[in-house]
Amino acid sequence: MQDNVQREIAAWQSQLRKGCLELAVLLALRRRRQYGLELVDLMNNANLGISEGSIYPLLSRLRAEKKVDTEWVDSGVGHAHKYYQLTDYGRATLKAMVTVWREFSAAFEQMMAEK
Amino acid sequence: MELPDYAEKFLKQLRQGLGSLTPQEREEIVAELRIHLLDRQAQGKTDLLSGFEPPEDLAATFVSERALRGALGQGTPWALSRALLISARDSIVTLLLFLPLALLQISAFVLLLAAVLKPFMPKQMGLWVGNGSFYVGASDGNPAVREILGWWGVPVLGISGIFVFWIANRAMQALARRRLRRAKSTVV
Repeated sequence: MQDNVQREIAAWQSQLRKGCLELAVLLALRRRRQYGLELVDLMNNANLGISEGSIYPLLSRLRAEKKVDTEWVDSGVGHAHKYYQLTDYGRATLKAMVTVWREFSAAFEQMMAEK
Repeated sequence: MELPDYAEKFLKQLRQGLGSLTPQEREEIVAELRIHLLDRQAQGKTDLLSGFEPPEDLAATFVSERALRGALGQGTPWALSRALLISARDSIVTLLLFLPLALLQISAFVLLLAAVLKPFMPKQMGLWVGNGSFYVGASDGNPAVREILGWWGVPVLGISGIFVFWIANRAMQALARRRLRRAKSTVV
């Protein structure tokens, strides 16, 4: 039974991560521009468990949706990096997502607090 | 700094998989991933590809999403069909849903073609009935079937063609949107 529970939880956690990844990336970009590898490391340090290659299709989509724009910057480490930064549309989307997240989170906190 | 051969091979296969994108898009994606791998190598990581899907799968993610988004922007049957076929490579459900819609599109084309040709070939083109047969298009010469619409064939076949085309196109757009939503939720 314990194995089944763990499997269920792993699958559920994976779905949760997938659903929240866009929010996580937009949050990571809210303070400063970052490139793909920085974002992967940031996500993994926060235990969001994203695989290395997955970030790039996601960033490509966010760019196509005009939530981020990009710029190649040579920061003097030998080669240029492609930096991603939030657009006004991306910032507005993030703000709306955070509002929804807080409402959602508060509703669950309330339900879990009830005896 | 150079990448090891296996990493170069990965990038080469990725580039091949991105063949349907513009050269600029393709080279930008490959350049970005090359720099990612170079950075990891500089950090001392030995298995540079451990966090990556096979290059064909990674390329398919880029190509499929862009094709679907582009097709939804254009809205043409050709663009939608192409994008859905690309997307159907990793989804048998999409393929099974796409095939009847493609048949509907072909039916719409036949109806419209029959309507357009009717004024030029009034005796050969139309809706044919008889002897257990019922079909639209050119007569097969069978004397047992007869054309039942006459000149009404032009508006009836034309309007039917437009209606079937519209239905099939709307359904293809819905399927493309569904695939795009699914593609969004499968990244990680």
